[in-house]
Amino acid sequence: MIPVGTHKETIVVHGRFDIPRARSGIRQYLTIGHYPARFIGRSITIFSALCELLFELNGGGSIEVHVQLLHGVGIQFKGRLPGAATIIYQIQQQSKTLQAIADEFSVQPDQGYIYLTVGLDVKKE
Amino acid sequence: MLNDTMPMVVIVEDSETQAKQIASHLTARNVNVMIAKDGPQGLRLISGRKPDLVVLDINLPTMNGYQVCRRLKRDADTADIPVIMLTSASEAEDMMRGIEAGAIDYIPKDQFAVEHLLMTLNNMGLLQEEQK
Repeated sequence: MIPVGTHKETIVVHGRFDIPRARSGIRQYLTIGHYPARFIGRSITIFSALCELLFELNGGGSIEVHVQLLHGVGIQFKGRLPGAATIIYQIQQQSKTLQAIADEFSVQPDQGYIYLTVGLDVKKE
Repeated sequence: MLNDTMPMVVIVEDSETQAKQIASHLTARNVNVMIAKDGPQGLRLISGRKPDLVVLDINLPTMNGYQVCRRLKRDADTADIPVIMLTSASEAEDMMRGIEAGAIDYIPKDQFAVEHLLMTLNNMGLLQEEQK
């Protein structure tokens, strides 16, 4: 049975090498929640793609990804980069496959940061 | 000898060692396993007996895993068979290609691979408790 309510968590990823650990945690959580295998697979995939994009544009260091799972509805991953709105075009060019896989994709500038949000709708599975 | 009451998984993997390692975990949990060493052999096995799941490597001789997956999804008789890609290519771009080809999941061959595969099969209702 899929639990109800909203689960929010911030995942710190310390480098590309750390992505497998982070996605393992997400997979375990979604599996325990009995989400469909395809939803879990797509969630892990868009999370990995978002992390790789953030690392590529961030130029190293650690990144934070905010995860919001609205049980029975979907999942959303949000990351941010320091930078001006001028990099939005670059982000959109480098994320075409991610945009095709995700049900939600947005890039928003706000107070010196660029916020990237990707999400999946569980009902589309 | 295959037991018709047990779920069937086809593993398409050119590394015999890795195929047998995965198979041992599955057979210990009452899953029938058939192993193919390349795409064409895998497609023949699948057309002979429709499995409950296909575990597919990407780097295969003759046809790669994406091609095998697309072939399965194009054929009405096999389109509904879930495919999990299990591969050493762990870049997100490879994962996205797998999902685009029709795989339900993409499990990189990292330190969590077997655990994640078993977790996924359990979630799909294909596993029983390990036999002691």
